[in-house]
Amino acid sequence: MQSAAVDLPDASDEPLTEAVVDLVLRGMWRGRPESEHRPLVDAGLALVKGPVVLPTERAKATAAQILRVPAGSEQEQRITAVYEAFLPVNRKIRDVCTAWQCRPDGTANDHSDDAYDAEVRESLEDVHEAIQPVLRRLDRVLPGSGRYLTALEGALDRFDDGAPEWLASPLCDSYHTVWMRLHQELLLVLGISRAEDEAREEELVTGSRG
Amino acid sequence: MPYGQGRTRGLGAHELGAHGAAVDQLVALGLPVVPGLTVPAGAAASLCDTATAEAAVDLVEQLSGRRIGDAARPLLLRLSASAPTEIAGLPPDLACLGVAPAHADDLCALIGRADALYEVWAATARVIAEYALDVPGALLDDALLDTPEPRARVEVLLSLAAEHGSQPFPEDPAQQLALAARALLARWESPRARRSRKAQRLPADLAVALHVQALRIGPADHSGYGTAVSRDPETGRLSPQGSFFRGVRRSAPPPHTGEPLHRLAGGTALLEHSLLTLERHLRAPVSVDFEVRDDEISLLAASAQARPPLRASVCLAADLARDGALGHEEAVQRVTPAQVQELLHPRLRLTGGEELLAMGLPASPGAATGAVVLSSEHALELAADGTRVVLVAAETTPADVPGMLASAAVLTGSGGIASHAAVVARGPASPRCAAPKDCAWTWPPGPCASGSGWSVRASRSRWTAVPAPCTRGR
Repeated sequence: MQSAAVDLPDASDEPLTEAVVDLVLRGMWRGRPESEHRPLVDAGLALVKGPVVLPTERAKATAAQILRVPAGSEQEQRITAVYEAFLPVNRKIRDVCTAWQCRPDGTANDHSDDAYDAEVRESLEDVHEAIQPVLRRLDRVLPGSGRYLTALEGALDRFDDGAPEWLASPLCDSYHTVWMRLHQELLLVLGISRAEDEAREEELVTGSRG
Repeated sequence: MPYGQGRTRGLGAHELGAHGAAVDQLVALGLPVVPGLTVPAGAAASLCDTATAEAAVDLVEQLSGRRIGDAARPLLLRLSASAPTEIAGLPPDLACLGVAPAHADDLCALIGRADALYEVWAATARVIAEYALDVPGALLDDALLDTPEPRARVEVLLSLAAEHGSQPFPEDPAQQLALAARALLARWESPRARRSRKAQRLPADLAVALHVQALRIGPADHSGYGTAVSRDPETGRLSPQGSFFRGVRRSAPPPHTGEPLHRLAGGTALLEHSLLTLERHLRAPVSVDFEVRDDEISLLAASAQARPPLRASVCLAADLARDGALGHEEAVQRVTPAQVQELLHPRLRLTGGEELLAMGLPASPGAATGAVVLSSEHALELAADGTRVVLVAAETTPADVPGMLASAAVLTGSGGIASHAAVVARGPASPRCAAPKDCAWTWPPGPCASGSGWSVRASRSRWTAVPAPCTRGR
């Protein structure tokens, strides 16, 4: 996943390293002032496409290198244990978002059926209950990861306040958007590829834990 | 009171719950139903009393002709709750009641699958520990995180109950049932359940009925559970469609473990008969949950399908009209305008010169054409000029989201219908996304009725994603 030799931005340049990690985990910035993305663009870490700012390949490699915990370390082991508890729930949240968007017969969910939507909301609650202990534990072994639970709760509140886009829309910090960022951070922290991730999830889910 | 006796005593769904009323109807139609009983809503709390629970255990043993603890034909119990109508947010079913640690391995040996029982048991023990024995939830969460194996989970839960609970987990079946009833009713009064009732605009003090069902344990080769609908969604013909799972029934069976109905060793004749009878009675395509015990089917639940496929509705209306059960005019009215509208969605026009490149499963309704791009960046560049593009990627990360949003369709080499990529692609507006076996596609408006299969065709540099015959997949 990582390329071996990437010139990290100067370690003393903390705002720049923080910014590049943020951009890579988010996948894009939209509506940020130029003062924020200009230093990244100048360092070859970002490119501007119309209204969005995207990370370059170099930025992705840099973020991967910054986030990666030492291979074989105790911290890696502890985060891996949390990651394995995360994976079965990761399957469930995608199923919940899918159920919110599409009915089981494959047609679009037009949200005209309150009972169906209420059922999906209940499965979202199951997911939210299941992820909380996982994130509380992650917070103990990965500094800063507590922000994910805060953001997930914020998205859930907005969803319950009647703004359904806060479940799965990619255009806001919706529940799914925040989740995807968390997932991406775990992969980079542990140096796990998407393919390995998928295989591991399948193994855990078919073994039907959680 | 035993399933089937509520109506004769003048009770309806209000007292019996939707489940109790539905099984009453199945019994009245002469269909095979899993043995069980209903504690009416007004008296549900009485089941928390051990003497009442003992009477309930005796009754289910009588009804099923089995005894808890019998080594050859073992019996366990399942407790569930139902409200007067089908609602969301009911407490989870608690199964495996009556199991004692000393006999668990004998049961596993009989089933032939070691973990099946422990997984369900652990789920039940978790709810009872938290809601009836007052073990702090955080303690349980932490212990379960440290203990992924089902068998070890049960041990941990039992020892937590002994150490931190108001009493140890009892071995006596009636005491277990009484605690399970207390747990379900406490869960029904939890902040979560209250919030759910409020969101559904249900009364805060809505009462639920409790149901005690026989969970007859048998070898996995001949026992299991499943779901079926009465009609083939593609042809509309009466033909049971669904799947079944071996082992002890759970609310969410592990994925990819379902087997087609034709593999039922006892055949599907009784299932077909049940579905036909129900269709005639409800005058709608129906779905059932069933249990298989020693190759025999009995019903757990049945209802009219909430949103039957168009062909199923049309064929059923025609069948009923042909049999004289419905007038012709009424038969036509059985098909709703919304269903007809599904036939009128736009579709792509093919020239016949396209080359078939790939096929797969749809992740959502939709159809699109566009120039192929292989990177998110390229998608953004071309899309900025107004070109319709189809983004093709082996896999996607959050960094591909802008490119996905700019594309008319997305095809990924991995993932599937419920991948992050598919969720993102369906996110901005109404869903348009499909996932071939190892691919996920996605596209913006112009929804077409969802297909049960998709193909990608190419002519020169353009790809076209085409739904298979415009029918609804399942």
